[in-house]
Amino acid sequence: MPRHCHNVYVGAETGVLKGINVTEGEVQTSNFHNLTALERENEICSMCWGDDEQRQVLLGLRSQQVKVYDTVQGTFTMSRQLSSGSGPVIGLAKHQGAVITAVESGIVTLWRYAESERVSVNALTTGEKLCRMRQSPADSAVLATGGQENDLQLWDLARPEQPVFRAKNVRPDMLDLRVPVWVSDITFLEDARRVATCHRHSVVRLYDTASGQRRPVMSVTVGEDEPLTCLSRTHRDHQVLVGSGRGRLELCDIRMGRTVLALKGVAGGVREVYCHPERSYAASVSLDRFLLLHDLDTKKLLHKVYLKSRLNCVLMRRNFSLNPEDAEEDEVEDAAVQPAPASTGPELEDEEDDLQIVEEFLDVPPEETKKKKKRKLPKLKISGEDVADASPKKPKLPKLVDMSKKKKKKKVKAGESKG
Amino acid sequence: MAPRSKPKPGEPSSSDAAAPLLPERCIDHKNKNIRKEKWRELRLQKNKEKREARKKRQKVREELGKDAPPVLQPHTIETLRIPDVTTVQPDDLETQQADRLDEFGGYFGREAAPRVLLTAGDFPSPKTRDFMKELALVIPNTEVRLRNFSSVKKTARVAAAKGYTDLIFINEDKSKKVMANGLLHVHLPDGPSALYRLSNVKLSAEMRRIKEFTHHRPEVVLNNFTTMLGHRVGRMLASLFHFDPEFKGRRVMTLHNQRDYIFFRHHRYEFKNEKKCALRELGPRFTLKLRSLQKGTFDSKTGEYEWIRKRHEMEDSRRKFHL
Repeated sequence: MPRHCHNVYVGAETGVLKGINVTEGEVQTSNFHNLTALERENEICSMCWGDDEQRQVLLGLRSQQVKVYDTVQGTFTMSRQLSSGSGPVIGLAKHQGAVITAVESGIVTLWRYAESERVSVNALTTGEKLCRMRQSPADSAVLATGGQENDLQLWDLARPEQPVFRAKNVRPDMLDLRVPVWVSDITFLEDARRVATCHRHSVVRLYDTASGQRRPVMSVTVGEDEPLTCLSRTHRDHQVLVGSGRGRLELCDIRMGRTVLALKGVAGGVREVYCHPERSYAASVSLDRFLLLHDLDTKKLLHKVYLKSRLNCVLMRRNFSLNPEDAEEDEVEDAAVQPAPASTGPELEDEEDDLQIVEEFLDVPPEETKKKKKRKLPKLKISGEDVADASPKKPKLPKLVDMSKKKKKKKVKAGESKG
Repeated sequence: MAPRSKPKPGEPSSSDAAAPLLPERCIDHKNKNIRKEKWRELRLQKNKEKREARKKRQKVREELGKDAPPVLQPHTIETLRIPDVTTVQPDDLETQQADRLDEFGGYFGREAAPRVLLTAGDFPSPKTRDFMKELALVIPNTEVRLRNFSSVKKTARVAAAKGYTDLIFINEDKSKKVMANGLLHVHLPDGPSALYRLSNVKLSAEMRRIKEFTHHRPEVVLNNFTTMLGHRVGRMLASLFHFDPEFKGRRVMTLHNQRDYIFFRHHRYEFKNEKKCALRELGPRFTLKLRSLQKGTFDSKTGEYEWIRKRHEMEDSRRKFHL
């Protein structure tokens, strides 16, 4: 039996987590919940990977519970009721082994083991509700939030008092009326300094957080009255895939400032899209209860899987491929690059324990957190090709190293100038 | 009508012999009159063969009696329908659980009786007003109100606060002198909302004889809602009527789905004997076609749709149906 028998995970409105194994010829699905004890309160509202090896899946529920599903053991290993704010969990992330949650009422919390070290941010000082929280792929302490009448904000967990970036609304329209804001999804682009948001008012906006400009550098209107609900960056840096509540799935080019293609096969509102970071696969789940798998290069619908419940979230494995041999190769490479996963067995058994894995958290020396306090948003030159050349398979690790080097240099320079 | 059966490729049949001749004899002739004549002859011959084959089958059936092969079923668009993956299996546990959790769980659990608010656009035409009055007689516990220039969203919000469970808006197109051409059904308080195209409205006054009907709570018959979308629409339509019918009234409302058109009929029935049942149509009658099903109450600009009809993408086959 392979180590992971499912390569796509889907969370449903009925609270069921489903695993799907998609290959070229066949599709196998399995439910991980007991179907006799479903509750409306257990609707899965957000999902993310719990670790770098993609061994655990974190689930955020409507009832403010966070659950951990272990894909290797095939069981739910942890469950914890949150006690901050109200409303469903709309964003989940992992930072230094600890879980970050965001709820609809705007409270973003980093759940450290010690209560004094917990970091809590109120991201909803204005506006009605928070719609999404996303984590920067380059720096796990940087979060982006946005919601209804609450424009994009970037937060650094090391400096939780103030947002590090706060977007400014576009100028009033030709009638001098204020343009409404309803951020429904956020994604960080490849260089992590540019952030794209999509709005319920059918517009995709691109922000350059390092340019010093708070207004969007690019604004793309998608269709007419298309309530855009979700967004994902694709394997190409200049393109994002946008899904709408009216069942449209469009690839939006942010260099050209227009949509380049529409994908077919959706009948209901798209709830989440997830694009593979290196290959041209795009998975999307929608209210018409289908999981769709498209190829962005050929525009073709590769698979259409009926999953019986209305679906909210989707996750795809890093080694996802329709050809099982490719996936296995990737797995071997992954194993070679990354250290073997620490045996989390004893910790997982301890269900009363906190959500985060304590060991990993303690491993981090305190100096590093201090450094992070001084850190501003990463100012990286945009050079997608260089990055791609340096690390065709795994762009994250080298980039992190790059950034810290640059930062050190800057610090040295700054110190010299001050001295 | 004689059954039309397609001959299988390997099987020789009478029509096979005539088929290859068709291009030379009928189509490729330059004179149109001759082409026509040839075609007519061909049809006649084919019909004759069909008739003979049918007679032969009947004879065989009479001879064999009980052991006869079953009567062939004619091919219709329904029988040739493209199978849908979302077809609801009644014993499916996940669907049952989803039904229990959805917005109509309260109605089917007999917790809350429906209370319906019926309204139309501003300044409804006399015909639409009559239609609304008749609908109010048909759907029990309905209140007809003037729209009073209120928006759909505001009406839905206020109606939900006042304890209505359903909201129906009749749309009409006065510019084209069409009476009613749209029906929006919003289930309160959490949706969903369905938008239908309304056609072939016939009021009971327009029917052959005006019949009286009583105010007993009717029975509801839902026909042929097979797919997941159909299942949901059927549940939504059923939730308009009270869950406790008064059988004394012998009234029955039928919502019959055929080729994605939902036909509404209202009858009074009478059991003549053990086998026979007499039906008398009372009216009104109308036809609905689903355009979209929206999650939540009506919000056409920023809301999400569970299903939305896309003509060019979905309606590529005549044999594909969604309900």
